[in-house]
Amino acid sequence: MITFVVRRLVLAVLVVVAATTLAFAVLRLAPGDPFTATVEQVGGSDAARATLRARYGLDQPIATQYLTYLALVARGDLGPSAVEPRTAARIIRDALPNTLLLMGTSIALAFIGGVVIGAWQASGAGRVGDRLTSRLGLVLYSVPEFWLALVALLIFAYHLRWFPLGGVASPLAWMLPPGAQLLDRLHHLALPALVLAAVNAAVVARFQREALIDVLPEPWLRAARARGLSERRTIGRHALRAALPPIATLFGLAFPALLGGTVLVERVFAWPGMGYVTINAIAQRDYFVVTAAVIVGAIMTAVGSLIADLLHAALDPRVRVA
Amino acid sequence: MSEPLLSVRDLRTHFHTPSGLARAVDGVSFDVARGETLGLVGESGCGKSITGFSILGLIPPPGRIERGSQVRFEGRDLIGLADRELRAIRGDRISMIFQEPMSALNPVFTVGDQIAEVVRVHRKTTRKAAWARAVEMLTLVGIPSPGERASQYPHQLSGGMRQRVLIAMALALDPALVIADEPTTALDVTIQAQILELLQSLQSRLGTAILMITHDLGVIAETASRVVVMYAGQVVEESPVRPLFAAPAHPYTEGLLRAMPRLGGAGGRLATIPGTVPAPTAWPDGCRFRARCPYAWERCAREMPPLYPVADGRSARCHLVDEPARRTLPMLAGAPAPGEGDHSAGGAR
Amino acid sequence: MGAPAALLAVLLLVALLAPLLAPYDPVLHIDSVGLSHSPPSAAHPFGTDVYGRDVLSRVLHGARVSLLVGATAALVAVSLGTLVGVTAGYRGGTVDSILMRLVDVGLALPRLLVLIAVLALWGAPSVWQLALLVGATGWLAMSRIVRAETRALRDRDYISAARALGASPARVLVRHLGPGLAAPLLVATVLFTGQAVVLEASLSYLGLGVRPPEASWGNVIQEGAPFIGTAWWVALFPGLAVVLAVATVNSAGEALRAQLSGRGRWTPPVLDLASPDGVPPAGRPVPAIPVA
Repeated sequence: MITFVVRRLVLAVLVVVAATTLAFAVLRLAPGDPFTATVEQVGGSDAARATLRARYGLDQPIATQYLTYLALVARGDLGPSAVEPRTAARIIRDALPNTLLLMGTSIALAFIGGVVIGAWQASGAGRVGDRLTSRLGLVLYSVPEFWLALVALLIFAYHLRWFPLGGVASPLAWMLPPGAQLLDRLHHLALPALVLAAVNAAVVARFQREALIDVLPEPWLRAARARGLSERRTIGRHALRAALPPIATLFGLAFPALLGGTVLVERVFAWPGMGYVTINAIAQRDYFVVTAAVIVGAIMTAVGSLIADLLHAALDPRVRVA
Repeated sequence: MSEPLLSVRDLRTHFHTPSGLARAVDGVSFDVARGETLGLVGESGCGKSITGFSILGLIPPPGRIERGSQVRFEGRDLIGLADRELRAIRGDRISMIFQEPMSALNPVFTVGDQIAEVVRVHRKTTRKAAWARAVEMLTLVGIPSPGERASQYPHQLSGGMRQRVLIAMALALDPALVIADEPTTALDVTIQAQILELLQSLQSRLGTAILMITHDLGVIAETASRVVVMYAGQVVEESPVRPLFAAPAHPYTEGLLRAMPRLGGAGGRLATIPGTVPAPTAWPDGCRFRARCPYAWERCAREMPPLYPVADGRSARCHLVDEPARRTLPMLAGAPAPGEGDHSAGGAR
Repeated sequence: MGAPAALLAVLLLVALLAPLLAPYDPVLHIDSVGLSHSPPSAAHPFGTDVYGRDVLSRVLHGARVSLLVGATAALVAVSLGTLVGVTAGYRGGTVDSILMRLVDVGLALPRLLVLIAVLALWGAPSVWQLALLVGATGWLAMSRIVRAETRALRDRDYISAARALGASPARVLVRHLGPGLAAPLLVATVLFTGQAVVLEASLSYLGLGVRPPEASWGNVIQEGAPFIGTAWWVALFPGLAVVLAVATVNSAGEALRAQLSGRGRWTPPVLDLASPDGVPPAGRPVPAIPVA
């Protein structure tokens, strides 16, 4: 178990190094000097430019530059922003909680919903209800999340006016009492979270359905029935519990895609998270923010897959103790 | 004579498969008395395991227990009982032990958890009391440091240990009948002996009846008082153990006995019965064993033998009982003899 | 197969014949003032966009670009994945562990963010560059599948036998692994195409993919997105096209998989008899009967 965790941690470090290398390549190859814009912002003096170049090691040979950059990243310095007085790390850090809130909510909804639906489908595999929902699931997980977000926006925000058009909170929400503020936040969260959850629930349900169908012929389920357990208990406890470890694996595998979907949906709903910030940064050629997002995204993914592995181990004693 | 604990009458379990009707269990009758061990013997595919599952009503589609079948247990017919009532009996009054202890245990729950679950499903007890019962049962079946073992997972235990767990689980609620389906087949020989010994000692302490399903006559000889031999979905011979071993009435039983390894027996190759059990979708007419039988004559093809009564409460489904003179005939007629060369060449092809 | 395959054929045909089927020029501003954002009508079934271009024509032409990018990217991904997967699976040992660790790292990078970073640097690429880039970031999962299949096949008796008989690695790979890998590769190619179509749409929606005025489903959605509240048709129809295409491709892939796996893994029929768990001897009761 300990070697297992160590191996996963090593992998996580490698992932972050790889992302940092990629970020470095982007910064080096970017047209123009990534500091041009920054320097102009601070007054454009050559002295300022030289200071910055020295700080980020740009006057050094390329290998040194790379190492300097790695060292900076390791210390949490992801570079200055080209357009804002905040650093790139600061911009991402300010946006991160919003992304985590949206992702966390939608992942929870997607996995709970997907597991329940998948289990329901598998327990009556082949029935009309199963076939119908499986078809629907296939269509749903073929839907690009950002487009579903647009459609949801069109229907539920523009036409039905059930939900706000975007953002994390109403402009004057800070004037409201705390309870109403919370409600306002949830109101803003609902639509983007549900859109993300719907598409991902379809994926989870599909996976859960297959995992459960794989488990159903197991002889120990028959043995459980022979002990007088009800069908509900046999399927709902014994089979489902044994079919959960693959879902933990799915969580790890799907995490990068989940992050990608969130990035796009954030843009649609003007949700000021990492994705929104990154995409705005592209338009402004703010390379340090873009690369910071890649590095932080890699860290998030690494943490996500670590969580998935731990979850897998928690769910499957054969992995845990072996 | 008092009513038997379990009385199976004309049990027919058929599988309505796309490739035809498989009459896996085809009119089986037998009784199990309180506290006795009845052996149910036959090769794989003869329907003995399905008989065991049929008693508990655990036949998945396309299988079906056909109308007219009767399984009387403690005065009630289990066939046609509502699922709820049947569930109340499973694991409580009748429990089961399986061949592959690993595959009878859920790999993701601890063994203690699984024993306690049976207790909690059938008895209104607290979690704690159920767990205590689980540990108590593990002690009873001779598992060292049972408190620790209870919180381990199946894959952490050895095969013999797992079978002890299954026995603990089966006996946790003091059932009247235990159906043991090849309980020792998957185990090493030394462990086999230990498990059988354990089963017998627990049986004599608790007064449980056992239906011992096995292909191994050695197991029968050690544990059972009476034997039912099954072939091709039917009972072909029923007898107390001793007379059966001394003088098998059915040629199939004879074949099984000859195929049995014996301590101190003459060396050389073990005999096998030539051929295999026919497919349950196509039982032959007449006697179902006739294609593999050294004595078979034309009557066997024409007429399915009934269960003829033999002496001492024995019975056998063979026309030889009716025409005992035929038992030596094949030798004289030069028909396939049960000689060494022949059956050692046995097997399908 | 049936229905999804037929629908897929129709889609491909539509993409191929787009210039003939499209009622208008997809790029031409017919009347950028009078026709701007006119709702669906008989003349313009999908309405017009902000420049007065016919959305139907743009969606039809977009099909060519989107499907081309999707299919090319899938082919690139499958080729690279096969190359790496077979190498790792067949060679085993150090080569295998190094390649697979690299794949692990690559898989753990958030693909969309990586693509965003690279494309932000490059500016809008050509259609072929986009397809290459999407394919080049998509082979990782494929290589894992291929590696697993290769390893499973490599350990089969007949492959070992061929190797023992002195067949050259190349020969063993092509003659023996080839047929075994064909089925999973085919299924994966189909499913990857769907993924790539979605990815193209996502990147183009961000303005990082196919460069306007050339139409792709993604960039038509992008053009419509700011007006979703008023001129919903611009973003809706290309999105529906994506869903239709991807759902079709996915169900075709699923059907293909079901069909190929229904007969079990592809194995040479003669060898089945020799395998211990192959066809049971005649006369034994088999499958449908559950013998506990």
